[in-house]
Amino acid sequence: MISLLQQQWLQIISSSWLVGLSIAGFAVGLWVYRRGGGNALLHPLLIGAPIIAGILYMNGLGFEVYYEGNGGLSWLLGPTTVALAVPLSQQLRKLPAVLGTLSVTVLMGGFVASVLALSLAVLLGTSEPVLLSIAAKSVTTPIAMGITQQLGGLLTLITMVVLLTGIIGIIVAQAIFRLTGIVDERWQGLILGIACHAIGTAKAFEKSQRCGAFSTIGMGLNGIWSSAFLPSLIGLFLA
Amino acid sequence: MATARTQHAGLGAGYLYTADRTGTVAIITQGLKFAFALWILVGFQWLGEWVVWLIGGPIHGPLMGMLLLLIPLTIADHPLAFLHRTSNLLIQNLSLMFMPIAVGAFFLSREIYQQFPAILLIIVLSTCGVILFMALLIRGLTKDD
Repeated sequence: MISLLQQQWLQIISSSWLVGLSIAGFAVGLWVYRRGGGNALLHPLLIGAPIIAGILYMNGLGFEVYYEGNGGLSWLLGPTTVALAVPLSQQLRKLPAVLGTLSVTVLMGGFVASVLALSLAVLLGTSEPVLLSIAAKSVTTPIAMGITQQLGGLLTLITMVVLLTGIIGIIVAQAIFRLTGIVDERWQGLILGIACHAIGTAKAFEKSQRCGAFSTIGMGLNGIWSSAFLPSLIGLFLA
Repeated sequence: MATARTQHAGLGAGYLYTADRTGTVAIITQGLKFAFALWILVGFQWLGEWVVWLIGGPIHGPLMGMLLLLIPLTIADHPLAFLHRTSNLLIQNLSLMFMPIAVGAFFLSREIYQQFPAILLIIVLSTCGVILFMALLIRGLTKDD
C-alpha cells in the first residue's frame, strides 16, 4: 500500500513539471500575443508550442512522456466540449427571422469547407492519414479532435491544421467581405464562425457583441453538422 | 487612551477575523461551485458517451453530451449562474488545453513533414474558397432584404 502511494506520489511529482511547462509556455505565448496587439500570427499556441518542443528536444524527452504528463489538461477537453452548450443555448434563444439564411449557410458552408479540403487533398496526392486529419479543419478544436479520432486521423496534425485555418481565415475574411459587399455584421460573424471556428469567433467579438453572437452560432452548429456528415463523406474520398 | 487603543485593536482584529473568515468561506464556496459545475459537465459527457455506445452512432461522446445539455439549457429561462461561470472559465482557457497536442505537431513523422507544403496549400485555398462561397451564398439569399 505504501509503495503504491509512493509510486503515485512520484508519478505526480515527475509529471507536474510537464504541466507546469505547458502553462509556462502558454503564458509566454499569451504575453507575446498581447504585446503584439492580438495579431493572429502571434497566437499563444504558435509561440508556446515551438518553445516547449525545443525544451523537450534539448532534454532528450519524447513526445509520449510529455503527453502522458499532461493527461489532466487533455482530460479537461471533454467537459469543455460539453460546456460549449452554455453560450450556444444563450444565442439560440435570440435567433430572429433569419433562420432560413442561417440554416442554409451552416448546412452548405460546413459541407463545402470539408469537400473543398478533401478534394484538394486528393488532387495533391496527400497520404491517407493527412486526408483523414484535414477533413474537420473548419470545426472548433475539441469537436474536430473528436471527429478526427473517430475517423482515424492524427490528433497532433488536426490541431495545427485547425489553428492555421483560423489564422488564415481571419486574415483573408475582411478582404473577401469587402470584395463581395458583405457589410452586415451578423453575416460576417456567421461566416467567421463556420470557416474559422473559435479564432474567428474571438475576432468577431472584437467587432461587436452581435457579430460575436452569430459567430458562436455558426461555430456551434457547424461542429454538430460536420460530426454528422463527415464519417459518411470521408468514405467517398478514400475509395 | 489605552482603552481606546484596545477597543480599536479589538475592532480591527474583529474586522480582520471577519474578513479572513468571509474570504475563506467565499473561496471555499466558489471552489465547491466550480467543482459541482465541473461534475455536471462531466456527468453530461458520460451520459453522452453512454448514449453513443447505446445507439452506436458516429458522433463523438462529449459532443453528444453537449447536445443533451443544450436541451435543459434552452428550455430553462435562467441558466445556473455557477454553470455559466465555470463554462466561461473553461472556454476562455481552451487554448491552454490544446498545448500538449499542438506540441505534438513538432514530433510528426518525416512523411507528414514532407507533405506540409501541400497541407498549407489545402488550408489556404479551401479556407479562402469557403469564405467566398458563403459570402456569395448570403448575398444571393438576402438579395431582397
